[in-house]
Amino acid sequence: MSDDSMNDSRRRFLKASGAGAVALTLAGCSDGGNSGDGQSTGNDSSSETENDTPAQNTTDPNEVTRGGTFTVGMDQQPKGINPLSTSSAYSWSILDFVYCWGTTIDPVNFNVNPSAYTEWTVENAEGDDASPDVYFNVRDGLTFSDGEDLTVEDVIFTYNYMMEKKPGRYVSAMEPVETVEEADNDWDVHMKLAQPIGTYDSTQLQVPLLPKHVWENVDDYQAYQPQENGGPIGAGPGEITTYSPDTAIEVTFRDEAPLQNLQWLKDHENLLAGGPFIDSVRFKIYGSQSALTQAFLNGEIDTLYSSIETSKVEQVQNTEGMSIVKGYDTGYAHYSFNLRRTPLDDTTFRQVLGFAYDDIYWTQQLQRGYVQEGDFVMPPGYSAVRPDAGGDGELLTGAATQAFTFRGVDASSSEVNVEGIRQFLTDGQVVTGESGSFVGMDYPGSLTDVSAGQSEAKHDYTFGPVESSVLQDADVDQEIRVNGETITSMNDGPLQMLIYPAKDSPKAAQMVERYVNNLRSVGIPIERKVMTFNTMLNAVYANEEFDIFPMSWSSLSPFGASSLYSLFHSDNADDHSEDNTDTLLNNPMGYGLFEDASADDLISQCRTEMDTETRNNLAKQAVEQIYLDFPTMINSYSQVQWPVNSGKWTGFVGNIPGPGDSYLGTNINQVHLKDSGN
Amino acid sequence: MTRISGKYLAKRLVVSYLTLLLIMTLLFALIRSAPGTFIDSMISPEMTRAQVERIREVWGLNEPLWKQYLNFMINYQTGEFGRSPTWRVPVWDLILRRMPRTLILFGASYIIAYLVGPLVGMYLGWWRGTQKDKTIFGTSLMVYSMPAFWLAWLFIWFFDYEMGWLPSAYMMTQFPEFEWTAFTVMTDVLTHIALPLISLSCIGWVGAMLIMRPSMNNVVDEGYVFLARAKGLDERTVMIKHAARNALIPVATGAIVGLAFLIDGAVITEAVFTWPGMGQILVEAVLNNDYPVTQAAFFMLAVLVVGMRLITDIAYTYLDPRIKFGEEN
Repeated sequence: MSDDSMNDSRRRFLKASGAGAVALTLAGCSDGGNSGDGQSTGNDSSSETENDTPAQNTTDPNEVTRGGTFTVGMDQQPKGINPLSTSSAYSWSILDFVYCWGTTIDPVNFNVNPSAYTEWTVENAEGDDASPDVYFNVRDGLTFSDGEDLTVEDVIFTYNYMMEKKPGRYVSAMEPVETVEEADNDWDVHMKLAQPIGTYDSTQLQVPLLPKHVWENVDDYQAYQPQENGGPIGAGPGEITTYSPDTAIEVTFRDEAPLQNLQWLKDHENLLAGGPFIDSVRFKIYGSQSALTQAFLNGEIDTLYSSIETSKVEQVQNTEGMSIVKGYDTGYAHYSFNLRRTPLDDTTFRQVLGFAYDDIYWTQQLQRGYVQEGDFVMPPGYSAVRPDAGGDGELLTGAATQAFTFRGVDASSSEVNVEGIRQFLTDGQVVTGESGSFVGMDYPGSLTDVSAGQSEAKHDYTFGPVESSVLQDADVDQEIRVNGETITSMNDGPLQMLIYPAKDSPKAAQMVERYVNNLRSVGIPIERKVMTFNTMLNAVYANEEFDIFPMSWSSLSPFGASSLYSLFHSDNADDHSEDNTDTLLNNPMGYGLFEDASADDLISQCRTEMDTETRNNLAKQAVEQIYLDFPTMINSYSQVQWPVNSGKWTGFVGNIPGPGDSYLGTNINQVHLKDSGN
Repeated sequence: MTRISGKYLAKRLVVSYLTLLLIMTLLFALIRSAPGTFIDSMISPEMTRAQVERIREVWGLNEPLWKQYLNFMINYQTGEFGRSPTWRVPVWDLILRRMPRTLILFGASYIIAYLVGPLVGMYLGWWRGTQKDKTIFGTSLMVYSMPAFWLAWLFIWFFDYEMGWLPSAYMMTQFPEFEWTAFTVMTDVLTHIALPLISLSCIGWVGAMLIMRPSMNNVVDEGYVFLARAKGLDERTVMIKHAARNALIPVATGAIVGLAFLIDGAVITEAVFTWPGMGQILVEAVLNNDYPVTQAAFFMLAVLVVGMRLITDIAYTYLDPRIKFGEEN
């Protein structure tokens, strides 16, 4: 099928897919065994969603069949089990069962609920210069897996240890904490913050609690090997009983799991209290994705970590005893731009980079409809902080979310609208948030009444004869000039787009080829530079040696504030001043460092706002401000397809973010044998 | 009878040592010329510049290159391989845990290949041009042309997925429901090693056969073979004792070269069969720019090849009585 013939129908599908996303209510438990019916390919995703919408959970926890061992397959071994030095998602899928946290986020409605802390409050949080006092109580009766009690002393030690050692994973959470000590009033613990943090209960109060008697003797936390010291020891529901990191790991659940029997869980419509209902969970590590997938299809394992490859989804759905549990992305895939470099410092030019990206080719042809077209820096599952949520049911598809979608020569064409884009540049236009028509598409105006930082182009764009060598072989008649100079002569080379090796990401390589060709056909000199993920990580975050780079974020906060602050605030962008050594490197684009490209005010207000509704509205505004300033182009959100053995197990929680990875723990706490005969 | 003098042996030891130094230098230069650094995998966006600098300092990357080189050479000669930045454990721990598994699988396949290959090559070379030679030679060339991973998947599909006779992953049963005894360990390892070993050996022996066959053919018409026949020795004795022994020398050289392919072959085979050896970890180490693990793995391989080269020189003298190293005439 040609690109052109596919486009029209696929554009319609995008809308159907988006409409489906509206129906994705964050509503709870699904029996994996029921979710396979009526599902085929991604081209029918709206109906799949309806079929998958789970009913309320009416199962009596006392009637659940307990016991059994649930087996999860992984294609990579965890990078250690030290909670302070590892940030590997594979490691944390195991450590999630070993440790407990002060508070916990409900994966269904995103309420912050008690866990090891029974209650909490904040005082003195009003005003810009406020230094709030957070007080909380620590639950009695919790024990570590070595039998020692979890005490207030352990909690205070945990914070002070993290503040002193600054492990990377917790730097952000500890940064605004001034002191943590025993409270001198009726509360157990007093935490002094340097400034109000609206989401303190899901950030500062949500750290894994460490046993003081173990960690007080650990000086070099990075070199510490918990498994060589009888650990890791935590107060979570499980303990690691087998640890062969190359091949197999087992977490056995303790008889008592008091944190799974709290009142909020008992009252929950979609989750069962009283878990985990299984005796243990095993993790088996396979040498390749193919071996892992085959192991699942052969029934050697009950599920695999995260999604199954899209080419196998249909096979799983058509196999008796196997089902797909659907879920949302907890982040997004993006291409981001270095705002420190010309002409990427200009919103006009950055927005043009969005017009040339053929999202239909990516979402429909290459990804077969298993990803959703991207727009905002919050995934569709986090609707409380998306600008398009809450009103007209146009999540993902409203015209205001299509401002930077692909511009073909006509609505059904995959040929980029070269003339339209060139005119946008030469006219010095900007999609500012005001309504209007831009490169052949109408834009209704900002959803939250925000405006882009620029109202007109920063540079003067013209087109002239082709000079740059990367455009010599391209089918292009003219080359762009920025203030009269070609990009190649201005920057001593064409723009560089970092990409992963084609063997690692063949589809992404195909997409980039299309994207680069589109940009070249406009007359923009651009070339690809291949590097592995880790090398790119260093080039981008440590050295800022990039023009454009692709990556993904996952496990973003559903409350917006902390993620927006981490990723888009100037506090986390290196300004390269000599005395600046303590800035996090989260924001390599440099967004926020420039007056005409910044959402700092909105993000700061959002971060310090204590009222939830006001905070969410500020988050929505910040999200749309970032959308219009376009420091990053969100190219897609994945649609999680988590395969499970539904012939033997039931109780899976679907339609939540990351059911097989970020919230694997939730599912392990819920899953149980179908009946005692199994 | 001594065929190698002490002086010659000492000279060879010095040359081997210098070879290793040269290999280490090349290793240092090659790995550092790859894009990125080994702390790439340790850098997280949630770090400060000061923390990144601290990591560079801890791992010695803030030192001038010549000093890094000096440290590397000294450390490696004292067996200090450092820690893996990816797995956060001493590199020796990783090697000691994984290398034996690789040696078990590839050692076994290596032994099979160099037992079967020369034997078949000897017969085919002796009977070169016969129908038997043509049939076996043609078939083995076809097998040799098959990609190892494809053959492996074919075996997995048939023996595991279709028939369920043999397991296709791991070296031993994970979470067994039986008690570990000496007998169960042995049978369990044997059943797990069967498929990877068969798929490796199916292809591996052909290489040795391809060296032995022409080598054997070259000695068939040698005078000493003619003489042996003239002495009235039976054909089997002539073939094995007089012809094959001389024809084995190129095979011994090939066997040394083959050692270098142990790790190379391990990369694919271990991934396909989830065999938790060095090959699997080497891939991840290279992808993660984990210099300490990558360097150590290749260094160990170099030691193995250089060491075996030395041993082979000694073995030559026993294979061919005419070869004498370092003896005064």
